[in-house]
Amino acid sequence: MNHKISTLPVIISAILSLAVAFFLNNAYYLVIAAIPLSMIAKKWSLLYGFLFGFLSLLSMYLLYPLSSSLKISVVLGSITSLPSILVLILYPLFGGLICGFGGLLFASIYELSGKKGNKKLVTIKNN
Amino acid sequence: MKKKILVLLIVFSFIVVGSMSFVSSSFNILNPKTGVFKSADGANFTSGNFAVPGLDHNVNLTIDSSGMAHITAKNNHDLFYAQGYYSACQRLFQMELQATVAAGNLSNFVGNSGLQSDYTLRLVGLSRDAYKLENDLKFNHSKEFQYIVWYTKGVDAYINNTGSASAHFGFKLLGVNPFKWTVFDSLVWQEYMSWSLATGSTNVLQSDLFVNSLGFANYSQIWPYYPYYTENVTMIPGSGTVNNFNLTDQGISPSYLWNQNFFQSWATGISGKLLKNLTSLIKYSCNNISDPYNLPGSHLTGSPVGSNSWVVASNNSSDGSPMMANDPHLPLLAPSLWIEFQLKDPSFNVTGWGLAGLPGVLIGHTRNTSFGLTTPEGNSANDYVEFLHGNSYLYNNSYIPMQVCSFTQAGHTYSVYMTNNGPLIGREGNIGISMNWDAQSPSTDLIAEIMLDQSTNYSQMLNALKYWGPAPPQNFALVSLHHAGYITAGGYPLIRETLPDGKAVKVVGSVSLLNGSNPKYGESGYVPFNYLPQKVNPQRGYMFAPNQPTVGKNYPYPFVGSYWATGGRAETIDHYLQNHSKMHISNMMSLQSNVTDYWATQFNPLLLKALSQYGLMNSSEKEAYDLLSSWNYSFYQNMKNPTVYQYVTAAFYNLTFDKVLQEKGIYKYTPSVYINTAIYMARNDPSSSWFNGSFNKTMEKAFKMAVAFMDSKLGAASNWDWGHIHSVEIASLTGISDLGIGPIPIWGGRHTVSVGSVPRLLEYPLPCVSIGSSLRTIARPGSSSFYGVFPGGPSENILSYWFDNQVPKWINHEYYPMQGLPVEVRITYEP
Repeated sequence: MNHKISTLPVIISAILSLAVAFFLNNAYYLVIAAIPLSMIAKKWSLLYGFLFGFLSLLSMYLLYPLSSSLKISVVLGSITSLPSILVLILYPLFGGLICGFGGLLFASIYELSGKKGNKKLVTIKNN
Repeated sequence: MKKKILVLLIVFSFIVVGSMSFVSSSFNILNPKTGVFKSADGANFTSGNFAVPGLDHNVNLTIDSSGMAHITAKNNHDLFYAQGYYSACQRLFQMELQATVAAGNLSNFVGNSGLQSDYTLRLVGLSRDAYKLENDLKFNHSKEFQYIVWYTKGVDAYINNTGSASAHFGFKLLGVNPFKWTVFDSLVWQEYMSWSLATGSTNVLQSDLFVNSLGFANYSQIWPYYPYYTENVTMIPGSGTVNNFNLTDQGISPSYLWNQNFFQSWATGISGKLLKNLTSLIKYSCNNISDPYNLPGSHLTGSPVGSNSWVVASNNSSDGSPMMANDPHLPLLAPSLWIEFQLKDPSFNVTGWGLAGLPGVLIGHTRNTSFGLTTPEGNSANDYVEFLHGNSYLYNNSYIPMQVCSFTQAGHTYSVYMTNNGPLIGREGNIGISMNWDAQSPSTDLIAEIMLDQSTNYSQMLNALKYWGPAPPQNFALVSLHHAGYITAGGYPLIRETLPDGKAVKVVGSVSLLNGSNPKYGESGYVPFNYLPQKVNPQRGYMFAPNQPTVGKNYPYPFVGSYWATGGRAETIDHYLQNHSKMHISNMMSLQSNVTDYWATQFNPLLLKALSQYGLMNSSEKEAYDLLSSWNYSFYQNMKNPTVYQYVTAAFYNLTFDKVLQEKGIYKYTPSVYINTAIYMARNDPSSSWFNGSFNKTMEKAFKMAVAFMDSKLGAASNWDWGHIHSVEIASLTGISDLGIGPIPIWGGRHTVSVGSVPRLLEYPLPCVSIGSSLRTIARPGSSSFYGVFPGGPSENILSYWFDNQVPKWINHEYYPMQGLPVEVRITYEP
């Protein structure tokens, strides 16, 4: 297999997703981070978008002591009858889905517009 | 074909992104950056300089290792401003939730589930009274009013500094932002605290329900004016003479007066027949003034609050310096109702506990004085029957239009109707019940508190207390360098009664509803300050005030409407102080941590005697009997004896008093019958119908029932530890159990000095202890010895070390010295 990867949109998307998670208050802003992913293949845009959205929000827990975040998740889990781990990952999951399907949306639009054609701009180079 | 797939993908992706965006907005509370997790940010204190706009000069704040904040300012303005700022920093959500509840706006925070609480508190009228108080302070006490204004501005400075970015967990959880704090918010919380300590309003209704169901003969047997065996343990030693004035001086025989039936029409202006017809209205009214939010005292559904305090005079103190101890029994909440401070500037140097949301220190000490309080139980409210016609009420033979106060909450409009006595708390047809609570007059308690905070000697403390009240009357324990004493400060409304023998006497309150249409039964002033129960430097060397009768039966203003506690704690304190002639601080601590039940020492022998005639015991019964026989009457977590006692008495009540009250449909509306009543009746009337004709046989049945219950629920006797069934829960203000502390196995019982009261229920597990020593303090100004502890910490943040840092010491009956502890954090507030 000889895949070629276009890293620039991926890097821009990763940086944008972190910036959105840090500076903006709502997960839906993560669609912004999905825009550069329109440049890559649909399945990769979905996958990278999901990972960036999910991980960027998850990384926000690093702002606080881990034990504090865990304690809050246990309390909230108990209030809402949800497992505490789900409380921790629920919002990042929303972010991942928004960014992932945002990427898919933009990639599909881009492809439909004919600019991408049948050419896969994103391939993985694997020697 | 491929185009179609692409279009489908676009539509599908769009739907997923749109729906996830919508759903995620609803879950913003879980946003790791801006949601509840943000409260993990800065949960603990950080040393440093912080800009606090509005200060005149720098203010230094240090936090010692107990968590107490020591605030040092250059003037009064900065002192109270900084107190407000720091209080908000630590407790803003608590303060705003409390003020919101008190003002009857809870539904603004929690939606329709808060409506019933809002209605109750609007009906009682805390916000009406707070507005009146604000105006009174503004125009008549402008200097002290300024202190409150400065405190308020400090709170607002904090809100402005943090704005909607406030990291307080509660705000994040409810998805609301802090509102601007005003003087009204502080005062309405003061009103709520007064309401939680008001006696009379509900008690009168409870008494009438009892008499309507069971008659006066039963009432006087079960609820005598003075609880059995408490006449010799009054707060003020002696017969009731105060400042050389008593009942006998007025030509009235105490024994004659206390043998009267104050439910009769000569005392109330209401016929027995009318009273009998009011049962459903009384129940309705009772429910109307019971706050379902139950913070901190609901008057009906909650356990009654209480307190302990005692003073030791110079002649009974090991080093000749007077001492005092105080522990108010209030709801144990997380965060605590209290917050601990030292406030220091050129005219203040006071240390102790203030109520979160109010300026100053309420229980504490200066360099030369110390002050604490307990609730005295005499009526501060009376209820009246109103004769209505449309929206008018009958008064002095004329119909007068009622004042109407309307308010809208969550889209519903409510109206509160007011007579000259106060709000109508219930109405059926043309009969209503109104409540006259003395907080309807502005209560300048904050002025008294600020004067106490500046006091340097005993007479200044007494003078300060002229400003206390009228609501709520409180027993103040006062100690200075050379004096120790008590005064029950506040306004006790007087009713002018003409006794059946024609003699007139002014009494405190009523046991029954009064006729609101007849001016004769209206309130006529308060007990004059000089004749409030008071005494300084008692010859015997001590006094105590754990909610027992305040004064003896010869008191010049008889407490007819009084609902004293059982006096069990008073007996324990009295015996201890009698037996310790030269008290040390360590003795004070030992007494404050005493977990012996005086009434158990009296009831258990009767119980054992009854069971001694019961020969055929199975092994569990034998074990239970042996535990009761060998008991030293202490309630420690690892003891099995109190568990047996608890369940046997619960079963006994189940078969006797509670059964009767349940049959009459008033169980929910009356307090549990006192154990001293059971003791008195077992000794003097063992064949009473309350005991199903035989105390011994009923006790035998109760014993079998209790042991069978323990066998089935707890198993072998090895599982009968008191701590296994008896726990404390320091509940969150939000009512969310995971935000509270506990349950933690705990010592104590209903009547122990270190209290751990639970209802007499044949249940496992027992309800958690929810009311207890909300703080403990011991002070000896003469030797600069001050100790304290409370079940909490300064912070309301559950993630903070300072949320519950004092709980372990509190559980272990240990104390922090209130001065000289190492400084943990140094903060400077800069203008």
